[in-house]
Amino acid sequence: MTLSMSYLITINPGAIFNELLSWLAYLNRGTVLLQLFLVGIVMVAEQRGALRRRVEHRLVPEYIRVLIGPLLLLISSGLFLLVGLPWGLLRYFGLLWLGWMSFTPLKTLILSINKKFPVDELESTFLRPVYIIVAIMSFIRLMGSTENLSQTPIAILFGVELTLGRIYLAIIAVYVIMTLSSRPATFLAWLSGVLFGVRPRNRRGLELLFRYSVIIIGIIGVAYFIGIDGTAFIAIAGGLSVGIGFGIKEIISNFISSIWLLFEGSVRPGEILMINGDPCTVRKLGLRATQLRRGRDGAELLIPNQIFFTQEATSFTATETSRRDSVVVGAAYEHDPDIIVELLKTIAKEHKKVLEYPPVNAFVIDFADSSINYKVLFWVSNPLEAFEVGSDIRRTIWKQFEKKGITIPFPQRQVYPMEWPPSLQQSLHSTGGGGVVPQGIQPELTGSDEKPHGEA
Amino acid sequence: MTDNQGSIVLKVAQASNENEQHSNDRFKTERKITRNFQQQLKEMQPGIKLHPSIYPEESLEKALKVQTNSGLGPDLVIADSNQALSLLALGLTDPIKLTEERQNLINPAALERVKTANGSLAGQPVSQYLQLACFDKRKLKKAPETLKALSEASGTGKVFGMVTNLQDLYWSLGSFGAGEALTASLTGQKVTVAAHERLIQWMRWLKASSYQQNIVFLRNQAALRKAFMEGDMQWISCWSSQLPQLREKLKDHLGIAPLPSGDFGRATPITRLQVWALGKNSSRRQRAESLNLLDFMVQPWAQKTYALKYRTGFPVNPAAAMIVSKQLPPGFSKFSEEENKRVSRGDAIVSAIDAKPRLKKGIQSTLNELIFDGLSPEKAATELETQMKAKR
Repeated sequence: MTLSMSYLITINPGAIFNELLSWLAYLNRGTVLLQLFLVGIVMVAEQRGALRRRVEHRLVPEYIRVLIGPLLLLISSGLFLLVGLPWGLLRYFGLLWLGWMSFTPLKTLILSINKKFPVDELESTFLRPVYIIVAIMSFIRLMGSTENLSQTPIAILFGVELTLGRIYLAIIAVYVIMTLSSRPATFLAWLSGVLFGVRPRNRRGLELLFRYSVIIIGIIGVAYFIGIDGTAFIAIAGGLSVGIGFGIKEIISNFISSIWLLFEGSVRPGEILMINGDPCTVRKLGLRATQLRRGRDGAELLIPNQIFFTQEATSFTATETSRRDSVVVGAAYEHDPDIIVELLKTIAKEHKKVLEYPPVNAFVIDFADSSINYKVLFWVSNPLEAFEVGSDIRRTIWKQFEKKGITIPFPQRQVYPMEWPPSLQQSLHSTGGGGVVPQGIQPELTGSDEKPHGEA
Repeated sequence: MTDNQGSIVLKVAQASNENEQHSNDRFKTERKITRNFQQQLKEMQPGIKLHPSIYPEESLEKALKVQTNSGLGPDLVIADSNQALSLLALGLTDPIKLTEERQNLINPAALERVKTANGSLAGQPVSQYLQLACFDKRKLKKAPETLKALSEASGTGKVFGMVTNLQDLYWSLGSFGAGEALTASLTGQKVTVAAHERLIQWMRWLKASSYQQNIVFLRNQAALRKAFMEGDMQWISCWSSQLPQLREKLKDHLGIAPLPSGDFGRATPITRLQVWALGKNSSRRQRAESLNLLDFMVQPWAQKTYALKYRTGFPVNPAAAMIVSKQLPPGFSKFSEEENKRVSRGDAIVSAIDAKPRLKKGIQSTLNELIFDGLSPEKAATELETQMKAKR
């Protein structure tokens, strides 16, 4: 199928420019200029703090004092009305300003009623966008016919004439879908949990899947609403296939990976994965990347989804969450390994967070240079706690060994200065007594000597 | 704001003629015509750049109120005579002073319709829209000239469509001479027995027509036009302002004729005046240019040219009307100065009803009950007279 560029999209913003230019015609009118001038003066005075300084009073909080400017405009609009001058612009700007400034007192009020209410989220995702939409609509109504402007065609997309009104509505609809899609998705996930017994951990993945579905259905709905039909979708798909091949391959690859990972259930929020040897908790599976929190230092990691899709990853939570960890310790040769092994098992078993099953075990793993090395293996239910449990067990081992007189040998290094040429006494000492250092061989300036711990 | 060539932008608020149509492309045809008119005017009046905005009729007053209060009102308002009068009464437009010379350019009946009680003019009539019969020439060779012929043609399988509101049905009152009863009721006079009887006869005709399979009553003009354009109807009552849509669809197959007459007399179609009124907020220069434009619009040349070009309205300039009447389609050409006087009673009744929404609703409900339910013509006639007398 070949499509000409003009079929895909033709933009003709001329009508909008004409409309905007025609608004300038109002500047021919003295009454309009007068109102705008007054608005300008009050705004500049407010900007420079001149208005607020006058009402400097401890009893009047800042968020009330910022309302002085808009109130001044409203009062002057009343005065204009009284003397029979056009006053609507003053009122419009006054109300617009007042509304904008009322967010802070409103937030304070809500927080005083309910401290946990997510006011900031409400403000940024709902209040301000709604406010801006209403402000734009009322401004256009003031300047001309909204119906007229909304029917102004400005572009042709896939043979469909897009009017300004449709584009505006489509933008609002997409925003609403994006913002509010999480609510029905959460409800559906919760419902699946109740009806089909989906585990809470899996619900979060399911919720994300539902959310994407709501967004996709919503966007297709919006496209149909603005008149883009099936043929256009085929054209879009054609265009996308070329796009995917070149430019947006990575984006699509990451997106598809995220969907796949959700279905597979291997990278769900709450999962614990080993990333470069560090256990990390999956926080969020996004469209492009997965957000993880590294247990070691709390760093947030953003890893493109396709990494998980194409490379191996170690999970501690794929089928079960328990993790096995171990502690290695050395004890002096003089102690009976049976006693040590039993002691290590007891220490590990007594820790609260060590699981009873699979059972704790301890092994002799090496006859090393200065000690017999043992390894105690234990299981914990939460893989992120393994590090902490290991530390606890090591501390207990030290205390128990101290109590029972079991020594942990370790190599020691003694450093002492040497003379050159060495005196006879020093030479004898360095060769272990009685040894003769042959002529021409220079001993090292520093020497070391390993002694068992017990002799140190 | 003046641009480089020194031309001035005039903001124009235009009430839509496609009021009953609540669809996404509500103003599509009107926008096309307006754009074309803008281009035409640019050639004749290079100093004026019109910037029209089309408003739904029902929201025009509200929008103008907000804009005029802010000093952002339009320089010119295009509305029908009733709305122009009500805009002046609300203080949203300025009355217009026409010199005697200019008044002579406009037919007196039209001027009368924009005159307020104190004699000032709410605007300047520029054109008038007529109610006509539109038919599909492929299916119907000739439009019926009488109601009887209409009834006979409907018997041969041709579908006829009408709208149930009084404004759109008023033409048929003339065919029965039933307008007198309504005028008398409205002015509070006693309705003569003969006039009452003629009103009953009209209602009988309505009732009888509603029983016929091929005479269809729809609730609004938009639905009627849609059915006509889709070929479900072969004849409808239509408005000249809406002809462009029909022409676009039916091309040369669209037939236009006067509405059928009855035994009593000729049909009395309603006319709607297109009135240009002056906005309140214009600067001195904008006002001067607006008046220039108004003057230009009633000159014979402009009247003739625009009437022939758009073929949606009849000139208000009698001289231009004489010139164009022969070139316009039959429905138009029959229209004349004399005709204008004859139908003015209907215009007065309809505008009086339009001004009272509750009365309008009451009359509509009576007509609906008569046409769609079991209300008898006798009862309906009495009810209609009572409603109009009460003027509520």
